[in-house]
Amino acid sequence: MSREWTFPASFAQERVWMANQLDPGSPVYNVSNPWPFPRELDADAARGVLDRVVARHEALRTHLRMDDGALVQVVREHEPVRVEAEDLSGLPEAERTARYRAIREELARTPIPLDAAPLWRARLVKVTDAWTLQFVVHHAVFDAHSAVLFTRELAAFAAAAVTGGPADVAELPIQYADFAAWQREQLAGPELDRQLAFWTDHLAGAPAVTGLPLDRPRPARLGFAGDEVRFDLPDGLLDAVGRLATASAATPYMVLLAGFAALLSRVSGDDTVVVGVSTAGRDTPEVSPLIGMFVNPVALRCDLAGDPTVAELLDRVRDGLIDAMEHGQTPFQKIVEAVAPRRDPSVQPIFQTALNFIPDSGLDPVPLGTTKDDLAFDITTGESRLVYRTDLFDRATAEAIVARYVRLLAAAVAEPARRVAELPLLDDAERRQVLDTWNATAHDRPASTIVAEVQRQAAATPGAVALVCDGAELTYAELNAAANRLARLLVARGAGPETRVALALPRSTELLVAILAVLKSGAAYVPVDTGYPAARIAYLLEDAEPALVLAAADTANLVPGDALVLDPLTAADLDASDLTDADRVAPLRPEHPAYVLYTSGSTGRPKGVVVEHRSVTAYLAWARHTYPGLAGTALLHSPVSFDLTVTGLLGPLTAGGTVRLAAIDSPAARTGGRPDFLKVTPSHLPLLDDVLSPTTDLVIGGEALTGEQLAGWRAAHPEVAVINEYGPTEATVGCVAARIAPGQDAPAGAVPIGTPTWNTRALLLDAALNPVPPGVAGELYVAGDQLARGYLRRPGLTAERFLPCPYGPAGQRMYRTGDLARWRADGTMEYLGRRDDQVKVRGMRIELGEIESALLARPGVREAAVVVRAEDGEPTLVGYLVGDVDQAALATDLARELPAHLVPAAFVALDALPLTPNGKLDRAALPAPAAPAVAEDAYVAPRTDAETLVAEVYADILGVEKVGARDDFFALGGNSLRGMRAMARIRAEVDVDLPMRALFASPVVADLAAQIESLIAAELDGLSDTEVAALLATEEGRTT
Amino acid sequence: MAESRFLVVRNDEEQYSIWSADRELPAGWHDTGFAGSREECLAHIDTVWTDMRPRSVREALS
Repeated sequence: MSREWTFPASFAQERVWMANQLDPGSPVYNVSNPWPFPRELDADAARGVLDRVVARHEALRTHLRMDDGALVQVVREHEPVRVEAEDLSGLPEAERTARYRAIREELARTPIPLDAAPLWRARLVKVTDAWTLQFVVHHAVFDAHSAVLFTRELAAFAAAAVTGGPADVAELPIQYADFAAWQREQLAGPELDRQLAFWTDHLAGAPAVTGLPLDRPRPARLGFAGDEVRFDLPDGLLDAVGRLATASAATPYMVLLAGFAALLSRVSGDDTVVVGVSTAGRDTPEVSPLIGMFVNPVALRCDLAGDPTVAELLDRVRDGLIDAMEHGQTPFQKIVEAVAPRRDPSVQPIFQTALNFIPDSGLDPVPLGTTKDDLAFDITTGESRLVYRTDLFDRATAEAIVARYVRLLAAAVAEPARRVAELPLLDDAERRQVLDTWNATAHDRPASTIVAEVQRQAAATPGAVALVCDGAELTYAELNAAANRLARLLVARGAGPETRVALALPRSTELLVAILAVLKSGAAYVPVDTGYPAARIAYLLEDAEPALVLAAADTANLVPGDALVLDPLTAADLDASDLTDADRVAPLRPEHPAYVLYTSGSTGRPKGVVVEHRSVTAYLAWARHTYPGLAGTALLHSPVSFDLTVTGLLGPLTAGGTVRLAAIDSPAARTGGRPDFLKVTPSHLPLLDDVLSPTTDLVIGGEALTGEQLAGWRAAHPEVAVINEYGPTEATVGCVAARIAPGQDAPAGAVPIGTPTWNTRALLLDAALNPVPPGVAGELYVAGDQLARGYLRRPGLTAERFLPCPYGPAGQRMYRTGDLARWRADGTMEYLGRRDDQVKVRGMRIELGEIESALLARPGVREAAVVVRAEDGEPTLVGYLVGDVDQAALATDLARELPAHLVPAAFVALDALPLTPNGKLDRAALPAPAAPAVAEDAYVAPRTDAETLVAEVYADILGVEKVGARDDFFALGGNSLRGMRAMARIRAEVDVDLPMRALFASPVVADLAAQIESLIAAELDGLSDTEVAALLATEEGRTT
Repeated sequence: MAESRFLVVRNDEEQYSIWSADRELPAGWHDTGFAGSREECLAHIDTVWTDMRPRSVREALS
């Protein structure tokens, strides 16, 4: 047994050790450093050269060990190195190359456990006439500068071995362990506090997680699985980077970094981005000749607010980096503990992206299939690479990121006076794709009026049933005649083009007749929902300035006294033939408004959207083509004040179909067999049983739709086409739609909203109105035939939302929807929510739909909604559930699938989700969770031996008096370092191999205790140690 | 940082809108000569865009 000495571990060693604990079976911290020996040296001599280097540097004789709750570095006495040699030179070439490669890859990819010296593996291999050293070392004892030293010393000792002279290598003044002890002394007390104060301030308000668009949701726990895209920067780009650096009193690295920050900001939409930057950590001359791990990452916060130019951004990056470097010695794990004490195992703390400029070193010869960061660039003067996390990104996405970085960087250094917001992200082909190819919707169709189309239909099928309501049927001829008679009266009362007629009528035959009559008069109809509060009705009637108000006998009390109250005799004696332009106040043209629908904005008073005939007929033409069910029976159940209703109302009447007017929960809705066509919101889906479900088309609109919401219905009705239709009232009912054909399954997760309707263009633009690349969230703008005229009597508001369109015919407008969406690679669009509702909890952006999908996927959950509530100031997630659900198990179960920040803090069981009159989820009506619902606080005494043990260890290490079964290690003030101690104590007590990541994944006493019990149970089952280890490995999802 | 400046612009249908003064104005739109903050421009439009019917509709009716 050789002698050994223990010293405190350095901060860097501690950090690498802790990170490595998350998956000790990964080679993520392996560093390869091959070196060719001069051909004069035989294997023994080569071994001798390596031996001299190992003898000089204690770091190469060091391993790490937990000792009494603290990590120590153990330095072994030097013993001659044992390195296998393998001579391949006699093999046939193909075999030799294959074997050489196999050796290198095996060495590079075999994990090096940290608890046994040495922390390197070496092999001598002879391929041709000289030996090469294959050397792979753990990052805990080796860094980039170590690689330079190592190579230099090998060369010096090899040269000495060849010539027999002395080696040109200076004595080492100190050893690595001396540095570690000194560092521990330096970085303590007030000095450490001062440094941490800088970092807390530097990172205050920065996003905890990058807003980069991901191809897949974050898994509940991160591993190190990664891949890399290698690339060469275009010729001359690094020279241009250097020139801009020189001209800006900056370094080339700062320019590269500014470009990266610009890319991250442009792609994420965040105006603050945080990038990991490595510091060498060798600030004193004594440590410069030492092999060892000195590198410390720092988090550089880059501010891109205020539309900076490239030059301005570079200034900010330079100043920020200089500041950060001055505090570069603060141990990164101390910063993590100060800034983000609560570890979320789904996210790397503080920064998730990094950029290294290593001009002269090459890349690792063997790709390891690992990554530490979500995205990290290594830029060199030769081949560069982007390393990416394969849990989050597809290779195609990583390749696109590389292309965008290079394009943006080249433009930035060419024109530093340009604004970052205007740097090009897309190449010409991509630009054509998103602007033109995916918007090739041209469809030749003459403009017309709704009136002309309904009358055409009435003339074609006069005897067909147009309307069924309250058990009565009306043929096309009867409906048209009734509407003509009333229209003549309306004209006589002043209705005509560019005027409005308000309809305060309940759902009835009269309502439909009135709508057609108003349209025939040339006026626009303004539906007034008679169920609304009186104040709202009064506001609407005042704001709309109607020429006339129509009411029924039982709604007359809701409207002013001069309203026209309809009864069976109204207009009964007037001419029933179609009106001509001569009968109207002025000719009716497709450019005149057809209706004004009021929509509530999130702020301000409801506003009337003025929609013209040409827009409605444009939509209807597309809808009749897309929804063959409109020629059959359509169940019309939603209020006519909701523009979703237009499809089932005017669609059938221009297609020869029948409108069945009935509340969705009334017996009349079920009379007459299944409808052919039905349009609902996703919230209606649970109501659709076999009788209500349509036979041909189910159209879903009004709210975001997930595959999980649709799955149950889809399974029962595979033969029906399902269409997810998106559209604000301002772009007429539906302007983007996706069709799930009969037989096709509902996709998991968000259902795409698809592609634009005829003669409509959908544009996804960033804040500077540039098109965003596929995959990147952009704001949705809509242009084309379906655009509304604007907001009634609101010129300013109209001008704000209907903007000049830079991507269409001259003079065209585009409507800014306020919705976020992204293009999928197949040219369909995915809806991402309202721009204003971007929800953040604990600094992380939340996709509520993702959580709702996970809830709906659980057995027993029929309906689910998740909202952010901030009753106590701090925003928290609350889940609402309908169904037979074991709430107690829910949070624990979800935590296995979702990142911790996406697990609701409380759940509320409801009999049904509250809906608005339009059938959308009524978020405001969701009850606050009862106070004790957040029962986590209540003390529960430990119930088992394992819980008692874990609770005692927590209490002791955290200095807390009473720890209960439901207490969370991190909530009690634990951090990674203390966690390390806690796990060591537990391991010592129960002698099971409990990995560090178990604590991150199960910080609650009861959960961790359960894990310990299952480990003990596994042993008791009589398995051998190897079998237990194998079992553990599978459980922890690692490969050994 | 200076507040962004906008222009009040108008197309041939005499529909008004606003546009960032830093950006090239799309074809078919004309600068009306009024510039200011976003709010100033929108307030100005509230006073000048008194008839929101497109010009072609207005002319057909007269």
